[in-house]
Amino acid sequence: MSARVRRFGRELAYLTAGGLTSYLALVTWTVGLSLVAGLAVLIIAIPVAVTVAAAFRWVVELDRQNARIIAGAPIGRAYHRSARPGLWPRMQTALRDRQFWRDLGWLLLHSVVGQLLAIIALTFVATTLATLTLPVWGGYIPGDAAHWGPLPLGEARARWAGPAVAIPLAAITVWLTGLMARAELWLARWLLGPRAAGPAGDATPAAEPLGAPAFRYRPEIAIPMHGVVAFVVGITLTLIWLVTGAGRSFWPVWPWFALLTTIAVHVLLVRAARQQTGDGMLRVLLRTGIEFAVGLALMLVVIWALAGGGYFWPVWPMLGMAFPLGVLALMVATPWRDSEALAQRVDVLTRTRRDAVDAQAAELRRIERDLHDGAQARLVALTMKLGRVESRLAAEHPDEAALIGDARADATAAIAELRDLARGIAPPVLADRGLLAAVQALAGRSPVATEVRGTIAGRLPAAVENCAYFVCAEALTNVAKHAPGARATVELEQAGGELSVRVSDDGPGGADPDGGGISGLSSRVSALDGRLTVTSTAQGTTIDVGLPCGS
Amino acid sequence: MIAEDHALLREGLVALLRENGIEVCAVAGDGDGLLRIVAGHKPDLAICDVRLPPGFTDEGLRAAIEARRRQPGLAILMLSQYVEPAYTAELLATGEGGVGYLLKERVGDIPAFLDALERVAAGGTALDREVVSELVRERSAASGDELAALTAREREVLGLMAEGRSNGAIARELVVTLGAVEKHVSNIFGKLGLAAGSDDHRRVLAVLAYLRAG
Repeated sequence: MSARVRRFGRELAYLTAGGLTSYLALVTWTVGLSLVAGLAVLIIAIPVAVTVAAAFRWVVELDRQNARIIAGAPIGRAYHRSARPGLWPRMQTALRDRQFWRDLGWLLLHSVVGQLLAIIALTFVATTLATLTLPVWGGYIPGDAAHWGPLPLGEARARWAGPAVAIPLAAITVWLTGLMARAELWLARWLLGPRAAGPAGDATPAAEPLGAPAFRYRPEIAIPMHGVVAFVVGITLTLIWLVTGAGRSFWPVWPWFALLTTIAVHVLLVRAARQQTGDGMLRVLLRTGIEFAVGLALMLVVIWALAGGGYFWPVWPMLGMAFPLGVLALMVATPWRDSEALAQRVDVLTRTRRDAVDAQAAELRRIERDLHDGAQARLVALTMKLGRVESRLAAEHPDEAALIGDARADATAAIAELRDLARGIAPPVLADRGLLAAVQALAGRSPVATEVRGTIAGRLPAAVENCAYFVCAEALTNVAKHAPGARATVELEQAGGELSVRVSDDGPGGADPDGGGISGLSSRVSALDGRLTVTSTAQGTTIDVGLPCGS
Repeated sequence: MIAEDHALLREGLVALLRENGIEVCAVAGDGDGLLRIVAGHKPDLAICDVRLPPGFTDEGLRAAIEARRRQPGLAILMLSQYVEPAYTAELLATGEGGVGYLLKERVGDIPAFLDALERVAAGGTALDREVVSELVRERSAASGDELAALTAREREVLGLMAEGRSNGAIARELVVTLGAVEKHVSNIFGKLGLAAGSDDHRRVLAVLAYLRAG
């Protein structure tokens, strides 16, 4: 019960904090967008845009922290970082970063939704508290006519209706707060959380969707409708102007401008929603911008012509629009070096990972050597000395000799355990004789009848040999565990810069690719950029591994 | 002679052997040293570690095989902290003369160690229990039916034969009569279809050949 109350408190706090940040979001996006739009015709728009992008990031971070601290659900962040310094590259990176557009979307949505949800939640809570305490303060409301609906508040008995209502109201409040908090958290996760682009797959946290929308929005219907409505409104206003004495100043230009802008924004949103990449966003922006500018220019020329011609004043707005569009076009046309920065980073990561894996393989072999030369050797020397004492005592002090013999047996057992440990770390025969010999030894030790076939010329890199060996070890252990009577075959082949390891058995199948052993293998294999496939049918199981081993 | 690079173990072995009346004529720290001493001193028995400098992989084994090639009939006892059936096979393939492969910890059991030394010096075989049990395991995994036909006692006797023990030693180990051991031995050879050898060494080779054939 108290856990539920605590959770309710957290949800309420989350919504309230969200309400506060929504005010900040409102201020941020209105000021930010106005600045950028207003200054768009000037070159100072570029540093302003960079600052605005940074401001968006900062404000949005507050919401992430809100989610982490209060709701206990951390939201990660993934922003592109500009590879080169300077305002122009930074603006390019910011506008090409999908997360920037999602930040903007969040600010726009949250400035409305956040306030709304917070106010609803707080109102419900306040109302619940008020009705609950009605018996206490209800009598102080001045005037005999003080009523709460049909109930006169002057009567003490009537006031007890308050708590009666408060109890179901409290239940509704708690439920509603939970629902709203989850909805806001889901929205925050969806817009602010990281997505992995590219072959690694989508890393969106698995937030449950709140259910299908009540109706389907179809842009191919909505946009023409919007256009028609806008046109009708514009024509109506123009007619009004005509009727009320046309001629002085063509004030309908402002409504026409506003209507055109709303259509442009609508089209922009629809197109933007279809974009997968930051580059696509820029192109959409450019295209919609050009269409808007052309439409506006046409509109202005029509108005100029209707107003009697003369000084061609539309040239100024057209030039003004040309500047930001020119900047956009320049950005789109520049082949962006972000991919180069990314490729460099991938290079560095690959190299350092390979070094780390190689270092680990060497380290394991060194540990095994140290064990051999250090602890194991000392224990052997110990058993020798104990043996000598034992034989000296055997004749005259048989009890003491027996005790020493026990001690020697303990030391011998320790040596055996160390040996098994060292074999698990870095099997000596693998380091000494190579992969094929080690796998043959492995096959011999296994209780499963195993055949080893292989063509490997010479030695392979230590990390590759280690990985292949442990793949075979794990696979054969699995066969022994799950299909004890089966026969297994291990095939090792080195061809075309790749070592291929295939362990197959004719057991009953049913291997679980997500099982602990196999997923451990898969992380070993992927650390070397290898591939792992598990096929398990009623005819048997095959584990197929490919490891690149260079030329 | 002794070829062992780890000083602690070398001194321990020397002391142990001297205390039990075995003369150590020379010690070596690497494979070349082994070959030199074997050529020079012509010892009765060479005790050699599998792992020697400079590579610490199997230099000792290589040197031992080379020594036997140069001096056929040289008795060699390999000591190792690991038992690898592959190494055993290579050692046994080198032909006549006493051959032994023991885990280093067996040295602590002095009576057994000395017994193994004498067997090898006399031209017989001394294989570590671990090696034999691995071979048996391999064989029964490959085609378990034949070995399953043996009784438990017969399997024990088979293992001890593979270690290189004589019938008398087996009888002492299992605390049975010599006659019982001989009966088990002939049963085993009959069930496995092996030719009964006259001397212990050939018998061991026959058993090992059977076990490794799996």
